Amino acid sequence: MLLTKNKLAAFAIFLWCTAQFSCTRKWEDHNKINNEDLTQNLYEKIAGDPSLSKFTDYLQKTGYSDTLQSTRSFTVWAPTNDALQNIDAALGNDDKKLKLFVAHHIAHLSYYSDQLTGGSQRLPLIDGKYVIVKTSSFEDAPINTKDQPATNGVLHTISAAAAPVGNCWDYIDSLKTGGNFMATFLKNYVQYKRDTTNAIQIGINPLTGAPIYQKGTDTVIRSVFIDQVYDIGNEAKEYTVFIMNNPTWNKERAKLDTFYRTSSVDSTYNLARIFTAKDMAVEGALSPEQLPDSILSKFGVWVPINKSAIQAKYRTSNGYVYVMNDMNVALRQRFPPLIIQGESYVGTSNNSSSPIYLRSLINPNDGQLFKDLYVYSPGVAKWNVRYRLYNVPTTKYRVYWATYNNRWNNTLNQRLAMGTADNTTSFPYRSIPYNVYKVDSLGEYPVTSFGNGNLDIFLVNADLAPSSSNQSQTAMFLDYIRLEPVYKQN
Amino acid sequence: MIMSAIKKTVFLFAALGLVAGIAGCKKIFDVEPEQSLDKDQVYQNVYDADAAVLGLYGKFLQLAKQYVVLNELRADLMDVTMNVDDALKQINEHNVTEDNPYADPRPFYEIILNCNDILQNFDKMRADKKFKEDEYRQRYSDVAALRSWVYLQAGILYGNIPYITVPLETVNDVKNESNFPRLDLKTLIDTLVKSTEAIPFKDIYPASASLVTTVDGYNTAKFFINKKCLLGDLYLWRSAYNGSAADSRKAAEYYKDVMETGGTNADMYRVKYAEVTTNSDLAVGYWNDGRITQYDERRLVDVNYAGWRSMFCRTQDDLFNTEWLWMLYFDKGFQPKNPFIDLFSNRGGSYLLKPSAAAILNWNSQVQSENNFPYDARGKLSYKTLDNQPVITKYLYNYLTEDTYVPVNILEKPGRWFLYRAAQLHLRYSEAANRDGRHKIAYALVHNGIKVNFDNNPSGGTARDVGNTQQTFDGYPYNFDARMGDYPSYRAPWHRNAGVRGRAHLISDPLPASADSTLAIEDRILNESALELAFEGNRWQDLMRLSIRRNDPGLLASRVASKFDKAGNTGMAATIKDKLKNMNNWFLPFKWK
Repeated sequence: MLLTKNKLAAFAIFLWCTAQFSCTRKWEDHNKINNEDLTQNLYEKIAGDPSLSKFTDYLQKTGYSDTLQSTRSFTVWAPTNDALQNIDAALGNDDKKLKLFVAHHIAHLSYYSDQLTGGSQRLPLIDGKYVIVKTSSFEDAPINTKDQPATNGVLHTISAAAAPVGNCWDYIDSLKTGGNFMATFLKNYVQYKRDTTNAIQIGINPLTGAPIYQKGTDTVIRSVFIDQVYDIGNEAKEYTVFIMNNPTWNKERAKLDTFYRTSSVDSTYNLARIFTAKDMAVEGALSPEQLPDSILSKFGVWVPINKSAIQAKYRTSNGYVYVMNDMNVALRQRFPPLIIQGESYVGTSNNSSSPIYLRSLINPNDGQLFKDLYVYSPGVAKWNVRYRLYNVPTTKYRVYWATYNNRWNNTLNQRLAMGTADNTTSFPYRSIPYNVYKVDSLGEYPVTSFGNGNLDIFLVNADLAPSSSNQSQTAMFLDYIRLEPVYKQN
Repeated sequence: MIMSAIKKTVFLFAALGLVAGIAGCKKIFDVEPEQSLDKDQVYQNVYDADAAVLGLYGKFLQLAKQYVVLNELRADLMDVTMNVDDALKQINEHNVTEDNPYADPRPFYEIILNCNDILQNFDKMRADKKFKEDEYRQRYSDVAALRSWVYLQAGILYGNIPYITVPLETVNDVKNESNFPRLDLKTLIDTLVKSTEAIPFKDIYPASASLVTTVDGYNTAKFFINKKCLLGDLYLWRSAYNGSAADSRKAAEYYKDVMETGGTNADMYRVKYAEVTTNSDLAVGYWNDGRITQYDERRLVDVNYAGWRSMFCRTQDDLFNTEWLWMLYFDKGFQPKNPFIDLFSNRGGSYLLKPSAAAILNWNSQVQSENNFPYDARGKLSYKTLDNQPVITKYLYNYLTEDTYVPVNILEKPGRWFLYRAAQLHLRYSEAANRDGRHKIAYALVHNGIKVNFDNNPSGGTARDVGNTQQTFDGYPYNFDARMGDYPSYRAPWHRNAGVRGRAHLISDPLPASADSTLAIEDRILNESALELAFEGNRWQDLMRLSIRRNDPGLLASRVASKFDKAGNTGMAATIKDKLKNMNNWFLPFKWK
């Protein structure tokens, strides 16, 4: 009986407690949104701000108003009405331009000002451009109010508009329009390149299984400069490009003409132009204040920068373009010595590599480690090892080789044949001393025609009928070959 | 109502108790299990004894990880990578806390107590006439020797340890320190010398023994500890403590006995020269005619079936048997798992440990014979640069493919535990002989071999009478005959000995004229051990023994400090050097968790 009474009492207390809770809405109060910011999406937020009414108009006109109501995250740097007053009135009438303009103020993902790495970050916008955003600025525009949260992102307002600008490659296009020779050359000097990205496949080669593409669809026309130097139209990276004005360009090119002698003037000019231009861009955006006295190009050439010769400068969306009225690159910078390592051979006269021995040794003269080539018992007289140099400028060269014969204390002759293996006129046989690391001057060799730019060099062994007794006399040694260009006086 | 319930319960319990009492008398619950053995049922015959021995070695495999990590990472040849955890970092930096899993002494004592238990049961079997006398002596000695080896290792690592020779029920009984006074390393070694010297059988198992068989595809002949190597090591350690030339000689005698295992077989444990034309050898060599091809770096023999590298991965063939004295296997077919893949491999493993900069520099400071290449090719065969990381591949050749170094099968982790081999034997013998005044023999074995060093005309060739040269002309254990001549014909047992450096294709500099031969040769031995035996678990022991021998803790301290120095951490190098100058800081904390 007692038990039953206790149970009843407990049940009564339980009921009372439940009743207490059910009368209020504690839970709903608990997770109710108290912050007004989080009830509005970005568009509603912008539209609700009277100081952003012009930008709201633009959003509606361009359709981005719908984008900013979607559930993905965005960051908007919205220019105030005051800021937009200074923008060209024509903008309002050109739909395409307006769309780009608006897109230039929106980024995917939410970026709060305190989340920027190092207080300054290069962020991608939805128009494909990148801008530098700092805690207090959006490119050059000062940030007015910052970090206003919305349901689908964050809103900043800026007190100046930021119109999208072209990239380095676009600027070169406009310089071309302005009649700049170098810009014209960079734009016009193109080559066909195989690129199957957009190719249309029309069949399969029954023999090889390789795809067959519709004619013309598997090649693209690419600028040689974009292809071989830097893709300066790439928005994601930054470049600094130096464009010479016309007299400077002609002068610099003329310096190189003699180094690219061919059968026609046109091809010589084109070669001289591309080799002049190839050192004129570096990675990274260098503002006028940051420009050093000289820059190192991708091809290892130091280019002196005469800051007083900057005729015009452009801040592009991915770096800087400078127009220079002086650009004097030393010839010894343009044409450093050509060095080919003994172990970097490309072939042999009978395609056998078994007589070739590659070694690591210590140079007895300076204690430095080096690798070299040693040839033993090829079994053929005048057997040779072939080397190839690429893009060899047409000029006279002083030729050296370095050898280390630490094996055979006897007469040992070898020679270099330039161009073709049976060329005996350039350099005669030369004796390789025993147990000496020796850098030997072989004489001069002129390269008279550029052709395809290749120069073959052959290391030829002694002209002795092979026998078991003269194997040590038909051996060869080579650490490296060095071709030092002789520059014309100028 | 309540009262009646209590009464009922009391009655029920009383009834139950009564029933249980009656049943207990009849043992109705005490049924013999059908699937497993009670401990009284094992040890019935020699096959039970064999099973116990093989089981012991199976358990012994669990020590492999600790053995290698503690003996190498604490020394100068092995270093930690960026991936390492705190436990290994502590080991590397000699800053080990008691809860470090690598410093747990329990695995050592599990083996020791296992041995004690087996030994007691063997005695019982012998008393019950379940064993032939020969069978008993072989197996008893094996287990006793393995126990000594584990004690020696534990002593080297922990310093003061309890010495227990009676079986205990569980390993945790060791905790009761009052029962088992601790011995310091010096006393322990003396005790071990005496107890191991007393074992009744010191040879290896005869080929006819039932334990020499095939288990899981592996021949068991080299599974078991070589007792004479162990005895040599024990005497070598004792001589380091007491400086006794007699102990050194005793060590040399045991080592010499092992070297002579093959009788006149010129290949067995004699560190043979390279076969330059066939490449069927364990030497550093170059493909095909090595006399010519040694001038091409690309033709270094670097495969699993020939040359120096192959000794760490080749099958148990004749050549294998000329080098290996003791090796155990990890295989997918049995437990435990191979710990080395995880430690060393950056492909399929965690890549925790790598060769130290000091070890690499040491290899790259050697010069090869003939071709003068400025590095020791054993370095290139001990570690490889994979994905721009230096990886200790000595343990990985059975796991990775031969030339591209990707796991053959990511789920199978075959491997080996390298415990004793001929080169190690020669280096230890040289240490002993050197301390017994045999400088020239020690030099010869470590450098370019007996023959050339004891030849009255080293460049004389074979077309002469060598009857009275190319020998040491010394008494046992220093008698070596390396004669090789054609008129009359001599092919003495040691004529193929190339010396440890000679086999590795390295030049052998003569000793500087002014140097103290004993110390100069000892330094050479220590350095050669680093080149030849790197990562195999000898380094810490070698450094310690030599420091004790010279009473110079600075030797060990500066070697270990150089690891940090060469890796660019000079601050840590100074700290470590100071710390290790105190011998008490050499030992790990001995603590049951």
